[in-house]
Order: sequence, then C-alpha cells, then structure tokens
Amino acid sequence: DEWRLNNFLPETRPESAQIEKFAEDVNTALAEKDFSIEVYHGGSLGLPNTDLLRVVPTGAVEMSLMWANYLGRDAPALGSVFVQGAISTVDELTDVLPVAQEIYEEEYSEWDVTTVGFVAIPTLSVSVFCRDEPVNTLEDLRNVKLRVWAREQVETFERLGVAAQIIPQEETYVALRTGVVDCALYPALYAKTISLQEVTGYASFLYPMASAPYALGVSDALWESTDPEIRDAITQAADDLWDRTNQYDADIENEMAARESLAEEGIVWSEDFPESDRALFVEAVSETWKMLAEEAGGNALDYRERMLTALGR
Amino acid sequence: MIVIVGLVTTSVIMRRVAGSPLHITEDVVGLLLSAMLFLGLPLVTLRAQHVRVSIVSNALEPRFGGAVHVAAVLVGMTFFGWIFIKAMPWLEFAWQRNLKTETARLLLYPWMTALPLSVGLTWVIFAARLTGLLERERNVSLEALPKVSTAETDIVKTDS
Amino acid sequence: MFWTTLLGVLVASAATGVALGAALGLTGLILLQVYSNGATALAVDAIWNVFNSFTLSAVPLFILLGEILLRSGVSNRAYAAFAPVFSKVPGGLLHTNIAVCTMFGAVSGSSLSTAAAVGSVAYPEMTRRGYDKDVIVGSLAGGGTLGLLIPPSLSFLIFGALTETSIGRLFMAGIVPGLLIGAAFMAYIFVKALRHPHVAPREQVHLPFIAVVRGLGQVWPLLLLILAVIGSIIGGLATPTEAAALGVVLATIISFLWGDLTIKKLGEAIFHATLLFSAIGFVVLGATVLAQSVSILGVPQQILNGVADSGLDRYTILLLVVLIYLVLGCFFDGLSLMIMTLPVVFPLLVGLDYDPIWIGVMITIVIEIGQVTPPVGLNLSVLASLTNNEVSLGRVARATVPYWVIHLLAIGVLKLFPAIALFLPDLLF
Ligand code: NA
Ligand code: NA
Repeated sequence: DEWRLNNFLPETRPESAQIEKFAEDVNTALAEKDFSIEVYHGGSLGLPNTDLLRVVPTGAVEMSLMWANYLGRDAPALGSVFVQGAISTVDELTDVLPVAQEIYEEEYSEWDVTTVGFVAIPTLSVSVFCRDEPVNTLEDLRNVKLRVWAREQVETFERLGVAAQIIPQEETYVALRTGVVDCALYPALYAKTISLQEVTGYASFLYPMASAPYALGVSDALWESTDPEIRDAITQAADDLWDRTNQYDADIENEMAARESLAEEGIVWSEDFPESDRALFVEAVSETWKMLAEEAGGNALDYRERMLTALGR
Repeated sequence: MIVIVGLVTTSVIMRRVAGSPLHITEDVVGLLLSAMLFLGLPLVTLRAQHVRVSIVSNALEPRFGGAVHVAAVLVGMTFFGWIFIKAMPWLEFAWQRNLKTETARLLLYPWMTALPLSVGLTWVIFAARLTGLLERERNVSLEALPKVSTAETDIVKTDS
Repeated sequence: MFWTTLLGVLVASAATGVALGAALGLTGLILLQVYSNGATALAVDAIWNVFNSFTLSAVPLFILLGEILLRSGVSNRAYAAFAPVFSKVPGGLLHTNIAVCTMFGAVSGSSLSTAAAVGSVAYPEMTRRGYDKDVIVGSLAGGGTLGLLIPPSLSFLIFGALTETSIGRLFMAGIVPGLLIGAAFMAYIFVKALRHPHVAPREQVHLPFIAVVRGLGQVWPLLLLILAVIGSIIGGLATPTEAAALGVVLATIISFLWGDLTIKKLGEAIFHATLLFSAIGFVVLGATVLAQSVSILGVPQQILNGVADSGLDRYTILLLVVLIYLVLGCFFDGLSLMIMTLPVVFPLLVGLDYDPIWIGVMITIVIEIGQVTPPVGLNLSVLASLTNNEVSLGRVARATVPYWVIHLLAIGVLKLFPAIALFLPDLLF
C-alpha cells in the first residue's frame, strides 16, 4: 500500500522537512513490508485546510496534517483552544501542551479521526511591518490600516481601538505595495515567504506567540484495519517527529537571525512596542479568548478551563 | 450584483474615509456570488446558453439526432442528480451544527440551500426536456442563436 | 486504467453536446467514486468553495461593467472615435484588443477577468463593424492570457509564496516577456490581415488628421474610467478585486451622464451579466470537480516524479515538463494546475540549475497556454459564452492556435535568452 500524506505547508518550511523525515523513517522501518508513505506538500492534493474534517474521516486521503485553528468553521471548539497571543512563553507552552494534546485527541476522535502524532510549531515573535514609517506604539498603530490574518486578531485589535483587516497571505504583498494597508502583522521568521522586505521598510516586535501543534490524522476505520506492525512503525516515527520538533532552544536565535537578514535587505528595526502596550495587548487577547469560547459553546468552555488550570491562571 | 457592488464600494469608502474597515465584506460577497451563480444556473439551462462541445454532436445530428439528444439529457440528469443526492447530507450537516462563516459569523445553511435548490431545479429542467414537456434544446447551428448584445440600443452617432 | 477512464468518460459525455460543465463534472464524480473510495461528497465541498470567493467576484463585475458600457452606447462612441486611427493599419481594431488586454493585464491579476472585461465590449462592437468573428475571438483569448504575465499577477503571487522566491523580482521578470508576447500577437495580426484582408475590414472613413484628433477627444469619459480603475489600484485605494466594483459604479455614472443608460437598460445589463457569469461558472464548476478528483490522487505529481527519476539531461527534462504541462493543461485550469505541480517541478528544475525566477516566468507562460487549451480552457469558455455560442468553443479554440504557438515560441526564446526575463529584476534588485 502507499499512503498519501497531505501536508498543507509549503515544501520550503522547516516543518515540511521534518514531515518528510517522518515518512522516510516509516518507509525505512517497513522496508520489508509492502507499505510506504508519500508526502504531498503545499496543498498539492487540492484539499483546502479548512475542510479537512470533512475529508480525513472518509479516508479519501489516508493521512493528513491538520491544524485546529483552521478547523473552527466545522468545529468551533477546536478553534478556541489556542488563541493567537494568549500563550507567550516557552514555560507556559510546556505547561499547556500535554493538556492541549489531550483535548485535540478527544475532539478529533469525535470526528472519527485518530491522532497518530503531533508536530510542534516553534514559538514565534510577531512583529508589525510598515511601509512608510516606523510604528511601535499602540497609539501610532491606531492611525494606520493594519493587515492581520485571523479573526481573533481582528477582535483583539478592535478592543485596542486599532482598525485591523484580514487580508489573505497571497494578497498582502500587493496590498502593502499599493497602500491598501499601511502595516502588516507577520512573524519575521516567515516574512521572506511573501517578500515583505520588498514592500515594507520598518518593523517592530509586538508580541511573542506560541502556537497549537499540528496533528497527523488518519480516519478511524482505516487506522483500525491497518496491520499492527505498520501502526507501530508509524507511531514510533511520529513520537520521534514530536521529539525533534518539540524544541524551543533555538527559537530566539532563529528569530534574531531572521531579523538580521531582513535588516540586510533594508528593513529598519525600531524599538519593540513598550511593555505597557504589550500588557494591554495580552489583556485584550484574554478577553477575546473568553469571548470565542463562549461563542463556540459546548465543549469549548470546558477546554478553556482545562487550559487555564494548566497555566495556573 | 448590485449588492456586491454596493458592499465593496462601501467597504472601500469606510476603510479610506472612516478608517474602520467592514469585516463582513469578503464573507458576504463570497456568499452573494455563490447565490448569484446558483440562481443563474437553472436560467442558463432553461435558455440553453451553456458552453458546449458541439463538433461531434453536430456531425451525428442528421442520422442519430434523437439518440444524441437523449444521451446529452441523461448525462445532465446523472450529474445534477448525483450532486443533489450528495448535497442533502452536506446541507444537513451545516444546519445541525449551525455552521457560520469564519469572519462575519453569518449562518451558512440559508445560503447553502441555494446549491441543492439550484441543482434540483436544473435536474427538473433536464427531465422536462427528456419527457418532451419542454422543447428540445435548439441545436447549436451557429448563427441561429440570438445575438449576444441585444444590440438594438440606439446607437449614438458621434458627429465625426 | 485511470487515464482510460478519464478520457473515455469525458469524451463520451462531452460528445453528446451536453453542457461542458456537466460532462466535466460527471467525469470527476465517476473518478472520485471509482478511485477515491466513493468520496463523491468531496465534489460538493469543492463546488461550494470555488464560488465562495471574494477574488472571483471580479469576473462578473467586469462583465457587468462591459455590459453597461455596451448598452448605454458609450463603447460604441469610443470605437467610432478609435476606428479612424487604425484605418490605415492592416488588422485595424484587432490591435486595440491586444493593447487593451495588455493594459488590463497591468491592473488585473487574472486572465479570466481580463478576457471577460475586454471581450464583453470588444466582441459586439467589432462584429458590428464587420470584423471576422473567429479572428476577433482569437485575439481576445490570446490577449486575455497576458493578464497573468504582466504584473500584478495571481500566478506570480502564488508561485512566490509556494517557493519563497521574491515576488517583486517575479513581477519585474514578467514585464518584458509579457510586452514582447503582446507585440508578437500584434505582428501576427498584422501579417494575417495583410494576407486575408477580409478578416479586418478597412474602415471607409478617411478623415483628415485634425478630425481624427477631434474624434479622439470624444473618448475622454472612457479614458477617465480606465484611468480611475487603474489609478485606484496604483494609488492604494482599492485591491484589484475592489477596483472592479468601483469601475462598475463609475461606468454607471458615466453612462447615465454621457451615454443613454436608463434604469431599464441597467436592469437588462445586470440580468445578462448574471446569465453570462452563470454559463462561465458552470464550466468552472465542472472543471473544479474534475480537478479535485485528479489532484487528490496525486496523479500529476507521480508523472513528474517519474520524469525527475529518469536521469535524463536538463534540456530533455525541461522539454518533458513543458509537454506534461501542455497535456495536463487540457484538463485543468491554470492556477489549480500550478498548485498541484509546483511542489515537484520547482525543486526538480532548481536542482537542474535553472534560475528560480526564470522558472516562474516559464511556468506562468505554460499556464497561460493551459488557459486556452480545450476542453478546460477557461478563457475559451468565457469567450464562447460572451458570443452566446455564436462562435462555438471548438471554433474559439481553433482561432486561438496561433497565439498558443506564439507562447510556445516564447518559451523557446526565453530558454535561449534568459536575460529577456532576468535583466530587469537584476537591474532593479
Ligand atoms: Na496582471
Ligand atoms: Na486548459
């Protein structure tokens, strides 16, 4: 058998290389068996990542990378477990990860999807990139048009009096070039993906962000009917994958290297947003989190409780 | 269509002048666009204005006209029937879970109803063609169809 | 086996002369049923997703814009003013199609919008003036593809994000090849009109220069419209999609003031534009189902992997890749084809020492070709719809062959002289 593994990340992302390695590990372990995993990167199987809860359970694709925050339309509770910016330090992240993984496994299993493993996302530093002038206070941010990428950010910035607008990743470049927006929220680590350095001149660090891990899902029916030896090999390789990615020591270093490389291409890094502004931001985020959980209803409130307990808040 | 134009324009003005972008624009425009297409689909079918490949069927026309016509209608009925059957559980899913759009938080199922409705209606039109209740689609003999630009607009002559 | 099913069902169902969308869609459903474990429910999600899109709304809006100009007589006036300018040039107004498509390509990101916007005005006006229908449609289908090569371009934006290449450099790299291909189109029209003068009637009016200029003075409202649409994008007022809506508002105002638009005519324009969009949308819908059924199996990647593992030299591999795109282009729309294939093609070609930016330009050109290869050539479908099937899909396709060949030649030329694409980005970045 050959299993297709749907990876919605572009092949150039470090996570994609790790997923590729996972597939290799499985294929090596099962070299004697008639079984292999083939990774399809960059969404090339044509499956929108918001629809995966409709696709994976049917077995139409054997295995898929899934990210809870993309699945909020079909499963609102999944979308409100991790809210952008609510968890910032590595310590906080290590505290909540076991709980979060448990929650995801429960929730996916309600959708007839078996979670065979997780891929951790590095902690990111989110910065404000601006085209014409540096912006590094909330006060200045209120006078510009800001691009964000998720609804929860719109809500949070609205609380702070900032006019934020969702602009899809592929339109951000043109929107900044022409001035449809003045600034964009983006992690420096990925800024070159959409050539931000060509359309903005200034950047300032706003908030650190820890993200929900990606999950690797297989339909229950397929998983149950799979040879136990194959299942063991997959789980083993997935555990290794988690151990390889669940590392945050290099995050700061990578962030600094990314900023430096952007600086070499002409981006001017200004002072970070002041502590007081960041405190306001964190406060707004936690209100947004509460609101989203209440809006989602059902299990979402319980999930939030469990996360908060793990955080000791 | 007017609503789409109005909405997008307002959105641009709001962002520019009032500095507060409308967050519902993208969601609503997407939904309106879908609704417009699904509304138009039965109409286009009724007026037989579809894009088609007519080389083979035109060649077969003189001898097997009836058979080709029946085959075409059957292809149409199979496709629309199939989609209709699959669209019912799809709609039910959205309805039971009260699915909403990501940004504007609009309930989806009222909009999604347009899909099975349109597909079902189109199926009925095909069925009516099969049973003879509706006249057959006129065969695409090229110049026989109505002119594209009902161009009887009074042509204003420039004085040159 | 897979390809036999695909071709067999597609050819058999399309041959009945049923709506193309139904033939494509049925083929997709059968492929999903047989090869994807009966997952036909995917088709419904795919259908819903494609129209639930803000970006796509530019297409019906540009059609509406054209309809308004047409029904109010504004476009007629403009063509009457332009005609004398071109009266001495073989090919006449056909050249305006290419020029306007190029200009439109410079504001819109997609070739579908370009073909829709220019075609909805140009086809009726030029038929009325006695131009050969097939030739008009060919020039529009060919010219429409320039929308992808001349920035801003959706295909470069997606290519850039998937491969982490510089979007600015890609945009720069598209300009010169885009203009050259446009010029080659005009040269072709010139030669064609010299050899077959009946395709482009010479306007009988021969006016003194000053009258021509005075006539041109009449077209300022239209120029204003074009300037406003382009300006709103460049000036950062609106995104290209939003600009389509602004354009409709402006066109309506201009047509009320300067043309003879009435509420009734506006209603007709809206109704007609909706019908046209639905006819085009149905082809898009069927093509989407078919694309989903094939892409989920990873078929294109497997073929390309075969090429990658073949160990052939870099020229043969490039040639094979282009050939594969030409074949796949028959079944898929350009952008979905790009997303499906890029994860394999890009590392393959980079590994063979081709320049990433050059690859972006090359792939955009083959994708433009895919837009005009039947049966799934969306530009062709747009134009067949715009003519209300007066010119059938097959005839549009045949009329577009010369433009198709020019694109292929362009790839050859770019292979020989990569600097055509690369000197501008190198100069500026
Ligand atoms: Na363009
Ligand atoms: Na094609």
